[in-house]
Amino acid sequence: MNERHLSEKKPMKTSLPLLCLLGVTAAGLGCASRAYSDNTQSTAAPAVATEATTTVLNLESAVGQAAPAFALPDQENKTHSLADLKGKTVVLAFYPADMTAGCSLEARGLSGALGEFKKRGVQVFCVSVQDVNSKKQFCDKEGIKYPMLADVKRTVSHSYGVLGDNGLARRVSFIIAPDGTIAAVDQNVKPLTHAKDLLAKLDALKPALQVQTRTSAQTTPPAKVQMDKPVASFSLANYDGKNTTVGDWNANGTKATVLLFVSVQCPISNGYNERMVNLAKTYEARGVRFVGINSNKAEAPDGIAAHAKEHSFSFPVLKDTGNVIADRFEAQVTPEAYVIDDKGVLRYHGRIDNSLKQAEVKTRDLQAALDSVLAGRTVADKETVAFGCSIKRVG
Amino acid sequence: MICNRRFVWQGGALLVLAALSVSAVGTDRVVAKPAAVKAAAPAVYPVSAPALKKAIAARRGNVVLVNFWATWCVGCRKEFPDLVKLQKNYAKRGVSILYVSGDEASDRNSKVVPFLKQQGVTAPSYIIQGDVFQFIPQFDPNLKTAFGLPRTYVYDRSGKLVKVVFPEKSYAEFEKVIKPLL
Repeated sequence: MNERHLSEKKPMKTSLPLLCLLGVTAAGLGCASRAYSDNTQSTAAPAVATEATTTVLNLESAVGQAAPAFALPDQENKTHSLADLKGKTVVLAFYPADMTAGCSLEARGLSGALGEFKKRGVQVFCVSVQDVNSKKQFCDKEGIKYPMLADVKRTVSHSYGVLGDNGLARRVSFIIAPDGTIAAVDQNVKPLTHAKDLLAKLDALKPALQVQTRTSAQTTPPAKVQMDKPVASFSLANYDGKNTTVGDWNANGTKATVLLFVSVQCPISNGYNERMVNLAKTYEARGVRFVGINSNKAEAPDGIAAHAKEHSFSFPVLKDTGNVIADRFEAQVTPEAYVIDDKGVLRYHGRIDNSLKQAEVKTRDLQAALDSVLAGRTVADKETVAFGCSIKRVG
Repeated sequence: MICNRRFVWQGGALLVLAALSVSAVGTDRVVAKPAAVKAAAPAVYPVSAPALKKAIAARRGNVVLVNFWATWCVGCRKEFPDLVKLQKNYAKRGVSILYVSGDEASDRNSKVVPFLKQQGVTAPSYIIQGDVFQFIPQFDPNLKTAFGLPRTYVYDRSGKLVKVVFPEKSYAEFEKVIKPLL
């Protein structure tokens, strides 16, 4: 009864913003500092001090965000750190208190399904604010074999936005993708069926998580692409869920590959749909492979598929979950184009042409680059400035 | 018709530049002058890159933020209220924000002006004149990659460009940028 009371007690409406505010203030606006420095160009700017970061996750917009770091001891006093789990899918299940009815039900369910989680390569953790001894007793009593983490200082519960105003973690579970971003949040955990619900969710997320596993598992991430340098191959899921590898640069007589960072919603990107389709039609016949990439965090495969169908795209549009590929190519906007030759060397980066209005186009930069590559000539204008909607990244 | 419209726009731009050049402070003071402007919809003037640079130079002595935005840009719409608030809170300390829309000229009256009005912007602002692909290299010749919206150029009191901020940022993030410059 006590546990039920505690677990169901809603936090004050103001608690999350208040905690955010406190966190941000305490860190001297440190929350923003990392994101800011990642996305600014300094032009002899005055130094802006880097301060400690205290981030509090907003549960309503957590999916796609970077999962807050943690390093907590389990029932055996062994420390588990999120940083050490890169490349693995992680379930992080917060619960209010050890040795209570709802939490015992949830823990038993997760314990019973541990084999299923392992089969999917998923590491399960439960987290509450009680100490290691309490965890030990709870695990012994319930026969729990997976790590139960003790967040005694409540910092992890706080940073995940689940710390109730009663000082206990609320019952909220997170699925963290192999690249460290949050893939799903369950705020309506049902202790009795939670294991089953999590497994169903993991199965639904499988294509995206699998791709991320491969990307994250690479010990040395490929370097950022550079003009006139070879481009490392990559693999992403097409909007139909099928994995597509981009990187066999001369397979089946391919003479060049065009990568187009595109968007479903951006009107500038959409203003180029017809031009992209026409270019693909013309140049696919000449051995050029066209590949669309959608890196916007809010644009899901379903919408990408409908959009591609609506605009009769002849080329695949790959979902770049976690904007891994956009980061590698340092793509900033949609539309933004890249041309890679049959040896896998980057030969062009920039805009498609020089006018948003099709009727006023005077310089067809992408087309000119393709003509040069196909003719074995050096591309005259290798880098042009693309204009469009900023790619909405995670983190 | 086009010539006439261009003439009116250029005339309007000149008037604004004249107003900016005599203004010692920020946007607010410029707007306060003509009573008619206060009651009417915010004025939005087509601006070329050189004219925008002049407008920025005319505000020397202030910390100037030049925010490129568009009504079609989700991130721009998201950060806009924070910029309006920032201008309001920091106007007296010499912060001046110039809004430059990347919308099509044909959307000026139907989309740009209503959005600015809804956001409570009463000061004159701008819309990129002509093709954005010609405007960008003239305004930022050093840019080699991509120009995504929103994008905000930050100038110190001496008129020197100190930072380029993108994509959308929050009030706190902008505050963190301008405070060391005040």
